[in-house]
Amino acid sequence: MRTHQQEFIRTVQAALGKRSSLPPDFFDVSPSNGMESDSHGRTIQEKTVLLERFVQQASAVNMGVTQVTDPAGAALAIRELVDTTQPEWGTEKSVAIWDHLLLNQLELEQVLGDSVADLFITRGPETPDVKTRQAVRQGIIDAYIGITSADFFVAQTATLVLRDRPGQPRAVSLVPSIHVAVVELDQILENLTELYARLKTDPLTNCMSLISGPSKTADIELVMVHGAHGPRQVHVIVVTG
Amino acid sequence: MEIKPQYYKQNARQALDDQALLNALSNVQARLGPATAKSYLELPEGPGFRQRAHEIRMFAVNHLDVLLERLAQKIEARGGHVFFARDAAQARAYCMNVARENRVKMVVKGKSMVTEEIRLNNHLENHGIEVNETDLGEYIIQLAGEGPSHIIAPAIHKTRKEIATLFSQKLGIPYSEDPPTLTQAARKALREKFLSADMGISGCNLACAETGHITTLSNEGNIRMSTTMPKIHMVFMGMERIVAKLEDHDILFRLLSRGAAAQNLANYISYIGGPRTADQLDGPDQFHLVVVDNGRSKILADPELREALCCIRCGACLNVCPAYGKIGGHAYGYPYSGPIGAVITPLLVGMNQAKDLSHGEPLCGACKQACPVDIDLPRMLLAIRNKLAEGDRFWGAVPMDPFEKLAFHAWSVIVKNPRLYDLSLRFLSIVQGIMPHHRGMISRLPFRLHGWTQTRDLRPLAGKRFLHHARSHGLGGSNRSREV
Repeated sequence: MRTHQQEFIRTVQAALGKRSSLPPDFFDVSPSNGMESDSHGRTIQEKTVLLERFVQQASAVNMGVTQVTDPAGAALAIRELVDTTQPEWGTEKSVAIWDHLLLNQLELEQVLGDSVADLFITRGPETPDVKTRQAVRQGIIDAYIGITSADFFVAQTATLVLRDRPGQPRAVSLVPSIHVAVVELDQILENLTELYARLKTDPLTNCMSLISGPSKTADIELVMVHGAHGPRQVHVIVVTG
Repeated sequence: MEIKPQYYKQNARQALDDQALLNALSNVQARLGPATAKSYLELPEGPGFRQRAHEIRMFAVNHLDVLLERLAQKIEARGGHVFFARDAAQARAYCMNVARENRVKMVVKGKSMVTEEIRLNNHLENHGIEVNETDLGEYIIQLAGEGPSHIIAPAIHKTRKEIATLFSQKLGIPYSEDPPTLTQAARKALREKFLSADMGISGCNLACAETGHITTLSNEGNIRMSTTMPKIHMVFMGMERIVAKLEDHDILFRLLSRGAAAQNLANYISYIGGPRTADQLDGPDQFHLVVVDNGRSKILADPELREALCCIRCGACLNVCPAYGKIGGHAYGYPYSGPIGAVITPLLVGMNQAKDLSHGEPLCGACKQACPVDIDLPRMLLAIRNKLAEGDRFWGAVPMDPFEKLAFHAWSVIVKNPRLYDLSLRFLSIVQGIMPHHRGMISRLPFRLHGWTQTRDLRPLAGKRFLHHARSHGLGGSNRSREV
């Protein structure tokens, strides 16, 4: 494998006609020019203005936004969603939810009560074994609603930014028919430029997903259809505090 | 109809008689072409943005060796495997080895042009592995046993009637022409595949050297499914599909989404930098990245054509090209079609084998204007035409038509010599009398020249030359021509 790589890189270098080089600190310098962002120091009013933009853009990509003042409000919004929707594949209403600080405050077990057959929390030991992972996988496959939070949400493009972490598997935002993301107003960013500036100092994990609306396709005569392979609906619940 | 670039002319001629295809193509071009142009104008940064994107891509291409090594090192540090494949055979063999070692029986695939290029599906299927394309368009053409006709919308040549018939036959569902019903049928059929496949295969839109991640963009979510649910994820990436820094994605993904589908941003963008970590609950246990050369280093070595490696495969040039709009993608005989296909196909499969592609493009410049990274496709189409006319040792191009070359050489001698020129005119004005005429026009030129009159008639030379008229009206004329 090494020899393949060396031979390959040598071919590329020969094609470039020289040993192409970059300054030694090329990858170490923090954000490039023009990336300085003031996303840290925004007032509540400024964030509220951004939220309005997010709501507008979200509606353009068919993503629902609900604003609530506290986690209890978020739980009630989820309860309403459970009461008004039906599972796509089975008959039992099962919900999968991340093990997450904000989501744990929702006390969904009490709020949902008997309205769901199962509330599956994706919690595991420090190094989950095959059996645990298999159970989590099945729990997510069986769920028709998947509830996550997000690291950031971006106003200009209506984008949710999710990084994989322990207890927060990526399939929850993907496999269930409905994806609900509960976020706090504090996490709003104006645009992708701000996002990438943040990620310079708060780096990526091995997997990061940017989600800007429900799954869709236009592969048949360019007719737009929602729910190709991912969630058919995406709802963002913003806790404004 | 055999799908090979050397049959471009006859494929194109057949396509022109296909009314359903023409309707489909004009629908795509009427909707996506102007929508993309409008979406560029709405960029808050203004129209100069595409040139900035071009600089970013050119920088990456010019530093490919450094960027690829950095990417490999970062991914290996996270426990991923990186394989550098010189050609299609090496890439396919690596994939097959991994599949064999892990007893893979079924594969789910996200749309990837480079795997079309290396004919990966065929190879896996020949070894008894079930391969499922999962992008709806790719799924449709796989069921139909065809290749993609568009980079972004691979089944755009198919009408909903054809798809309805196909699905009712292959999936056993009741006949329906309703796109949501057809989409739901594919969703159901493929969900089972996603949940039971042993390996997921994806392409890579633009890797990031700085952080060591590959990225995938999709609207359907099929690529996320393919890269999340199976225990092995294998990525195939053309070696040029990389940028240096994370923030380069800001510009490029917004432009890619506009170029491809006039969207602000694709629905899903995934950054993947390795397998599941020990503390994570899901994601693949194995991550393999296959970096494919397969002729790209040769393009890199030609300064005149290196720019072609800036392409980010959005399909915007297809949506505005007058030639593509009439003949569709299959006529090009290779997975890459339209103006970008006419540039890179000859470079990947051989100049003479794909000699007609660059001549089919009208050089109108629409592709350059539509390109999100401002690639000068018309310039490169001309460069390829030139290499084909003159012959080119580096590309192994033999002059396309020695007769044509000779004719133009003779012409250049004649026009530079007034005596010779006048003599030939006199000669021609005599011999033209014996050529077939139709309503006072020459309807067929002799020998190899007949191509000129194949679709039009030629006005014969006038009995009296213009200079004679001019002189008889006292309008000068040079003293040299008076000698005659």
